[in-house]
Amino acid sequence: MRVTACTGWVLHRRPWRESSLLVELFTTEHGRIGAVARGARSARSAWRGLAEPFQPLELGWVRRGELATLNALEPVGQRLTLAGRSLWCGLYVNELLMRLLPRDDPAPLLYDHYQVTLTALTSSQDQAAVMRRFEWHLLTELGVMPQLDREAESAQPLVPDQLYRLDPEAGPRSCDKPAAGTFPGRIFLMADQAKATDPVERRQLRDLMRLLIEHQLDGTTLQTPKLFRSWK
Amino acid sequence: MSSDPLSELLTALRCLPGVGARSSQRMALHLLERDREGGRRLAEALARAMSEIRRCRQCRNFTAEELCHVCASTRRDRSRLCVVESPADVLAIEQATAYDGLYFVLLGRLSPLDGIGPDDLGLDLLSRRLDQESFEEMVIATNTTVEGEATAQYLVEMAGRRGIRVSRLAQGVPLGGELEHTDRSTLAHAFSARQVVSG
Repeated sequence: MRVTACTGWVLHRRPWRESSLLVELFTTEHGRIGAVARGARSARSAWRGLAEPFQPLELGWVRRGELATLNALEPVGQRLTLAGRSLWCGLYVNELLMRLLPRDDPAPLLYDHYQVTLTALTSSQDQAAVMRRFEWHLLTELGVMPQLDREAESAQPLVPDQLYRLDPEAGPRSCDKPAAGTFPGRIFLMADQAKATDPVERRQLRDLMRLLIEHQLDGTTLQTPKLFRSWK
Repeated sequence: MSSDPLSELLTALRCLPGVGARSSQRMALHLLERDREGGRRLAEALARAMSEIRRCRQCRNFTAEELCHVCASTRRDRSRLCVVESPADVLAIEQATAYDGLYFVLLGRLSPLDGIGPDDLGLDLLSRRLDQESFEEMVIATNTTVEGEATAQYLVEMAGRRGIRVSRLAQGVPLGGELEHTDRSTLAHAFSARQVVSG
């Protein structure tokens, strides 16, 4: 299969053999794919320094087996300037896609959300809200987001001040006592917009999304947030 | 059954970067046919280096002593610390610049997706040094890759918490380079970080 002029982003890359790179790409039409960039690390390569995350690219490749072989790699526009903590948020978003989005599964809507998220990170002061929105879109597009505005069993609308326990498969379930994994109804109700302003609610919303994401990870942990927490 | 020494040598040579089946054969035959003495010297030098060279206790650079020659020197400026990713970066800075401070070699970069965290880079040792020694400036000379930048950010926070001034190598148009042929990202960076020269 030969593909030309497909736009995409590098999610991650690893040195491969002497001078090549193994890159994970997130592309408009083909979703996440794995590819080899031959010679991309050699001193004379025109691709040197281009196969970097946060650089919008136009790509071309041929593919026979599992991995594609890149034959075109051109920057389209500037590499996004993610400074400080925004850079770490960008790495977190990339890790989420690497871990949760299967290869070869086109996800054009998620691709748009990814671009919106990266762009927001270059300017937004409220990185947490940007992250929560991306998490919500990711789980929704992957089709694993339970309905959060109704009680799982009765299908009754949630009461904002009542307590519910998150069942990551089915959604909120009524409960009486606060415990790990329980949140007030209003936290579930604000998940799609990530509009929390109160610091306690922001933390609860973060924890709610974390539980939903961890459920998809089969017991493994995400490395970026772990590292981010360690430096405080 | 003992394996054939020639094929063992061929396999062993292939651990070198850029050496595949053909080059390893060429190297092995050259040593056997034309330069047995050179081969013996190489074997001894390799054995000695592998057993004696370790990491400097202070900066993690390679050395055969407890301390590397930079850390042991009395002529270096002990108020400045330059953090680099690899021993090759130390050599490059030593050869190209007049920097006379100390170094810290990470031997890598933070890369959460590859599972490389602060402990793998000796950042616990670095934070002890920042607490115990009196540095006035940390010069961050990590690579300009995304991971290099992420590592720099981590270092900025480490030094900032301790009130140490932090500087980062400038990025811009290479000397003798033509703007037309400078890659777009570098040019954009150089443009936004331009310096006032008058007025």
